[in-house]
Amino acid sequence: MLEVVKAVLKVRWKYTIRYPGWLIMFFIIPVVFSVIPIVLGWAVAGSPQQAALNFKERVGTEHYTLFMVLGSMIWLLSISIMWDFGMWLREEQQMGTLEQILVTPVNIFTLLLASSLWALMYSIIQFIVALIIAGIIFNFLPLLFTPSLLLCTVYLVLGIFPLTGFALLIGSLIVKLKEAEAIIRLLQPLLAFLVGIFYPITIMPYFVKLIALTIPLTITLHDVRAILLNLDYLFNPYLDLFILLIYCAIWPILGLYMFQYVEKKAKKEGTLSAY
Amino acid sequence: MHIREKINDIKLIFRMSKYLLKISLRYPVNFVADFIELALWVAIFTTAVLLFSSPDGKVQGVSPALFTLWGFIMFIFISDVIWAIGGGLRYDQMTGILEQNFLAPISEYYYPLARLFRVYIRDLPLFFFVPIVFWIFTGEFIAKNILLSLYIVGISIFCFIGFGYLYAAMVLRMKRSALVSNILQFILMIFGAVFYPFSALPDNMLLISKVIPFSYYIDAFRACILGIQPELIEISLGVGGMTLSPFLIELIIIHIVAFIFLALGLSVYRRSVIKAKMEGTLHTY
Repeated sequence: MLEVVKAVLKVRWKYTIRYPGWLIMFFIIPVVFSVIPIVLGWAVAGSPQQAALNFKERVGTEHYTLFMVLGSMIWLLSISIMWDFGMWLREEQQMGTLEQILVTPVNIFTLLLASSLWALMYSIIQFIVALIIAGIIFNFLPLLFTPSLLLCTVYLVLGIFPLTGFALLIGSLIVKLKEAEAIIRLLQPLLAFLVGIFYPITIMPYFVKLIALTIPLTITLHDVRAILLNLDYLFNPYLDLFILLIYCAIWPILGLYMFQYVEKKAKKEGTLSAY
Repeated sequence: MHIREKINDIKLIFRMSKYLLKISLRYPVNFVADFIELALWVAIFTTAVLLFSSPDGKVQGVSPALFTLWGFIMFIFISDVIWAIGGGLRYDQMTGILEQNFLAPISEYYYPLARLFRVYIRDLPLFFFVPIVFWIFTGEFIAKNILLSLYIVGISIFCFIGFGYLYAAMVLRMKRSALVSNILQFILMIFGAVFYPFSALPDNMLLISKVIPFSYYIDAFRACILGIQPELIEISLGVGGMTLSPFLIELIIIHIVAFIFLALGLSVYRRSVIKAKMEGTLHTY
């Protein structure tokens, strides 16, 4: 198993360094993405100072740059973890190599594990580098590097782990519906909308909040902002951590079950490689 | 070339667009995603904007939300070119049909054009859907000088087609189109002031905006449809006893840029196809 993981990591590493331009983009995209609502905020408020005042009145903090950057970075971190497996499946389908991979004497879940491990490592590096770049640009590094950053890391780890379950669910959707790009295009903004990348979910209607709470990332994002910006927690720190722990068990099991079911069905129908 | 041949060529492009449209309709999730995705992004950005809003936050008496709406509409046209042409060529390379397509007895210009028309036809409902969603979320809507605005969109499309050919040539050479497409989109989003008025940009960023030709298309279109003064050109120009208003200067600029892009795009694309065929690199990715 370890050999397989090592081999997958090696292949992914080789793919990555073959396209250095992507690496640079990978660090820049999150920063650029957070710039849009910030500049939009200046435009709407009339000036950065007024933007901070209006934002404080509505959200409770004047540090709107850190608020926005955290939202977009954590969202991007999660989507790169969630989409990686699905996009890998899709690329193999398109190149016609998926069936060959699946007939090798390797368990698909070992491949998934290796793939998720790669996505995790890659995304965390992106997250840290992009956060530092944004911190330098928007001058919020002193707010970030405090002892409470450790607590944020706990929330982040607990929020990310259940996403492997989401990755499997998306993988099964791709195997079933084939339209990977469309599914991703649809789920990306849906996730951004529900978890509140640019706003606190407390301002959303009750039923939207209920749906949002089923996504581990909502709790992680809200509480990380609460820790770093002295805002209110979603419920309270202990209850929030407890819910995240439950999600760590539920989502991966659900994803695994779903993927096994879809994979078995696709193999029987011979539609695994079709796209 | 005879007029009949020209008409036949246009018919051919439409037939190709129809065929490509048929393929895209085979993927219903993708079709639905176009609408829901846009509605969700509008909702996300509008909610974010509301957190910053104050009663006096207007630009030339117009709400910044309307700059977002019309900037976004223009952005769909540009984005379509980037993804339909660049992404389309890349898709054909990956699925191994690009060489076959280029071997067909038709001009090499038609295939990217057909792809683009397919996307524009598919996006037609979006141009009505987005303003409606926007109006539902913000309660604001202004659409003045509609005919002139449509004319500006038409000129813009000529420019974007020229740019599309340039971009197609680059994709054939550089292969990895998604990366370049993303970079281009982000540059446009930030410096093209798609989601906000140009006046929201700091002076040094505004300088870069003024260098990017697409900014003038966005600015001219917004100025026309919102009935305001252009933001990128603020001074009038006296030529031979005539005074050219800022809007007129912008109109002249967009016509010249469209011509340059179209001429340059066609020539560079042709050369890059011939080169790729000679080197045998058309299908490699």
